[in-house]
Amino acid sequence: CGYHLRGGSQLLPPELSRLQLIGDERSDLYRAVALRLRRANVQLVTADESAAVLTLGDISVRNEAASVDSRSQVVEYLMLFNTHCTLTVPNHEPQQFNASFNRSFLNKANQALASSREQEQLKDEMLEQTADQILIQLSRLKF
Amino acid sequence: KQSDYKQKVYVDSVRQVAELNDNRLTFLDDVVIRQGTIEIHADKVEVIRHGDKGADEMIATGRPARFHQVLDNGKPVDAQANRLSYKLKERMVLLTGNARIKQSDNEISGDQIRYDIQKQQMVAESSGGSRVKTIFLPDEMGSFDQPAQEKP
Amino acid sequence: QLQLGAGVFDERCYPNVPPLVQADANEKAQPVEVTSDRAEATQQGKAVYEGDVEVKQGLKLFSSQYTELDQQTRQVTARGDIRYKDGSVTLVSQGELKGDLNSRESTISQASYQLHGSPARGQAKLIELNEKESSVKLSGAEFTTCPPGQEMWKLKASEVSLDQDEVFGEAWNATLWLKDVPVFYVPYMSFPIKDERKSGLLYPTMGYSNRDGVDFAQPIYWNIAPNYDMTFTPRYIQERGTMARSEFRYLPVAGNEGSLYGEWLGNDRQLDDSRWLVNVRHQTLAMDDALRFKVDYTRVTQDDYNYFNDLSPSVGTLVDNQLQQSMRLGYYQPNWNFTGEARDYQILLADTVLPHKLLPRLNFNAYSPSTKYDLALQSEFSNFDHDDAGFYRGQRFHLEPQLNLPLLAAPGYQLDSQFRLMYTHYQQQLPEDYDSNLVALGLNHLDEQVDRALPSVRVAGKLIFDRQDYWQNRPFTQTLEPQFQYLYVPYRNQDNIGLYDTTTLRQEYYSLFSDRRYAGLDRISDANRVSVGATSRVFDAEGTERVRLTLGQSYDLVRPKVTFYPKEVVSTNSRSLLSFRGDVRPLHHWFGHTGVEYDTEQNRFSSGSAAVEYQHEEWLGQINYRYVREGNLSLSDPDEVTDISQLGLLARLPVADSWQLIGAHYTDLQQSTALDSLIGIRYDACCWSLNLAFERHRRPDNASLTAETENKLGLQFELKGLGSIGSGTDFTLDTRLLPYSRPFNLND
Repeated sequence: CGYHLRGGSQLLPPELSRLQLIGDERSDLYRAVALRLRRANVQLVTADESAAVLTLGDISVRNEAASVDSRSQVVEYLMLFNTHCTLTVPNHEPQQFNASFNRSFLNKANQALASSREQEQLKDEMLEQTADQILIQLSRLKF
Repeated sequence: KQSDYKQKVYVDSVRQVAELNDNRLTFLDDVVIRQGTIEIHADKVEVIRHGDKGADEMIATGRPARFHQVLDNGKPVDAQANRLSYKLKERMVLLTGNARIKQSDNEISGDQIRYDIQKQQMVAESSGGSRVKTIFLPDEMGSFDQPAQEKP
Repeated sequence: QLQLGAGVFDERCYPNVPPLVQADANEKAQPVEVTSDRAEATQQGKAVYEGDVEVKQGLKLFSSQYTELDQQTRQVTARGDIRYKDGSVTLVSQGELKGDLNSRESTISQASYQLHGSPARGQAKLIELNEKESSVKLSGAEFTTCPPGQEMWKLKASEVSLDQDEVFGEAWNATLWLKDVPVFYVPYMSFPIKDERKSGLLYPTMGYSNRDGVDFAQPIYWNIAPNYDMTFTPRYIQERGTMARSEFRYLPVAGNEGSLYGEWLGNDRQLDDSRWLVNVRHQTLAMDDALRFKVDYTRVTQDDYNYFNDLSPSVGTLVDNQLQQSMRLGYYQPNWNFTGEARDYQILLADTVLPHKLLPRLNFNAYSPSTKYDLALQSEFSNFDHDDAGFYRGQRFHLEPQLNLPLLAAPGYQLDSQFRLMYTHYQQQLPEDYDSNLVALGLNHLDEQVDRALPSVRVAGKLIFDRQDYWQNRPFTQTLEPQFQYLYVPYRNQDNIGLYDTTTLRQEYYSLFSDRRYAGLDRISDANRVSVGATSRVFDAEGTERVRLTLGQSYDLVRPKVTFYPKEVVSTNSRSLLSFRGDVRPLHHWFGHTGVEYDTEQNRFSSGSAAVEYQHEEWLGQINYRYVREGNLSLSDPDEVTDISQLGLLARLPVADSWQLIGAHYTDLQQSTALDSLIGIRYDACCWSLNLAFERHRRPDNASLTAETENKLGLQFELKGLGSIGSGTDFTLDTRLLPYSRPFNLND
């Protein structure tokens, strides 16, 4: 049915072989994206006009009630994880893309401390997925 | 300056015509009149005497006729108009026909300006389409709403 | 330049308002030109100009019939159809102008004004302009943003002062007139003249509900200093009493900011008791943001379970009815970070087991990435305290070195491995006689000292297949990405360890590929599990992801023996839930998302959700559905469990050109009861808008764990350019129980 293993030697297009990653170097997202870029043997450079620039935006994490029970107590919460980043490749238009994930967790009124730990776990896992998603998005760009 | 009025009046011109019967003396072509710091340039100046002592009125016409005087505070006054009449005794200058007086960076223009040298007072009026225009440059008197910089 | 709420400025309504022009700096140095019919001036004396006098300087144009300038005192007076215009305001007056060129102050009587680039205009008995302090004082003033001829409202005040450098203007003895009916009086009122800071909060809010009656609040803003401000809000609730809210915000020096917020209700007539809330939020960033200190503390009166349901304060993070009280200090570097945190909760739900207090938790994480592999160390020390003598307390030390070793990496395939060693030491202080809840769960056979060391091996790989195709002769790329993971963790009985900050994770696609079954460290489940999944994505010609479908399930080669509670039965099911997730963004205006978990053992759905939305300019429509098996309690008999089957319908549609209708309706299909319904209508005129919203919802009572219907009517009359007056219900699709949510992952 026409599927073939993805070929090519590099995961990312050649224009991204040398890339400057801009963001809060101390943040987990920056570390996760930098790790994956190195794995895709991208050379991370600082302040070099000829290199492409990937700017990581801030992370927004929000909890929203998703479903309520017959006593109007919340049953499910939805954690919405969202970030955006901008890629500028020399003499190309800057492109912005968005990575968002959501995962649900149950209302645990009597396990407050554990619930906050669960939320931390969901946030960390979605952060890793976001780093993967950014790489997937970069690997699909056509110049 | 006040001292101007005691000075003698010098007049020189290319041509001079005297009509004694109605006490009128006319100077023509590049007429220059001086009295102390006062200086008048015109194409034609008629000096009229009514009474017995000295000239009473000088009427200068030109394209334009000019009047210059340095005041007591050392600031010059320059005036010009198509017709400039200078009454010595009253020390009054009447400018008619796109008249303009420039006085230490302030400038007034209009159809007719009466300038009383003694009281340092100017009255400008316009007639018909044209308007009286006064221009203040900021450094002198300061802008319309800006405090005047006291000169050192 | 004076700018008054210009954000709301709409050319269609205000065709003849001149644009705001910034005066350039050297305007003062430009010559002044005065034209008039007649001029009379004496040197150092008075200058009089008469007859259509026009004074021009740069942008400034000032005309009158008679203007007099005293060169000595530098006083200016003018009379006769005065008209003053500069880059930011136009004044027209039939009265008189007096000005002082030295102090650059001028007063104009009987003047009407129109701000430039803004709808704001009005008139005043006296306008005092002070150019040096760029302030304007209007006495006997009227203010409106309505275009001429459509005067719907105007604000009359004895005095209005607008100071350019301040963010807020002030008005004294202000009365709001609708047409020519005085509607609302306030002795003092401040309103923003710039959009910064707290612009929207400053206006009285009005609402009515059948339970609380009229609910009216009028915030008063006090701008103490450029980086300190305070908002004091008296609030009258008909059926409860009068309460006071105050918020003090401070930003003493860059990097340090915070707010102290308090609410105090002297006596709530429905409870015959006083109620209060305190909220402290603070953040300090130092050493170039490497050192971060944060406080987020909220507390209400003891056992006041319904505080949030009754008084809906605007602060406090309330999730799971838990009010977070935490303080956190962290030092962050690119390759390591050290954080310390203390955390407690106030639970606002009747008869719940109180959690342990975390006093403190210290984390040290270090990372050393390199191209071939990367090492990481996570370590943590936590001290868990508890007030109830029947509960155990404990100190836990955890060390977790980790090696990530990528085995194969290529565009078409990927294989990674991860090796972890989890060493945990517990020191537990056990109660003489355990609390009955703990006994029921089997948590009463704990040891004072426990050491646990568990390795974890994880191998994960994925293949990526592509195919190009055309759809309606537009090229697209579709991928097929099979993915697998093998996780091995040996078994270790942990029934002798208390539960402090650990809970189960919900089973769904992403948790299949997680490295743990429980969040927290008190239970590390054994695993001999293979997870298999596949993702298919469709990328359009520009490389934007338009469709993403995933399907996955995991198999336990050996069924895990660790259970959450010691008395729990070990599950016999070796297959996890079959999990499916779908995200679609076929067309620009259409969004879709779904997630379903299916129990292949019992052949039934375990949980699921779906949402479809259409959004285009003013039009918006969303249908959402959520299902949780046995997630709900039956209305008729609270001990009987039933399913959550919740349908949500939301819509926002423009009716005639300036009318807009919104609606939201959530129903429990299982027990066919309406949960929350909202209907609202909005009319938008040039300078005002009116929205009326009615909401009927089942209001929760956290003390009796019941819910009863409440009707709420909200009238919001917004004076554009002056913020909104009265906001019973804001004009959004949020309902009180469920916010308008967009769970769509493919919105670029």
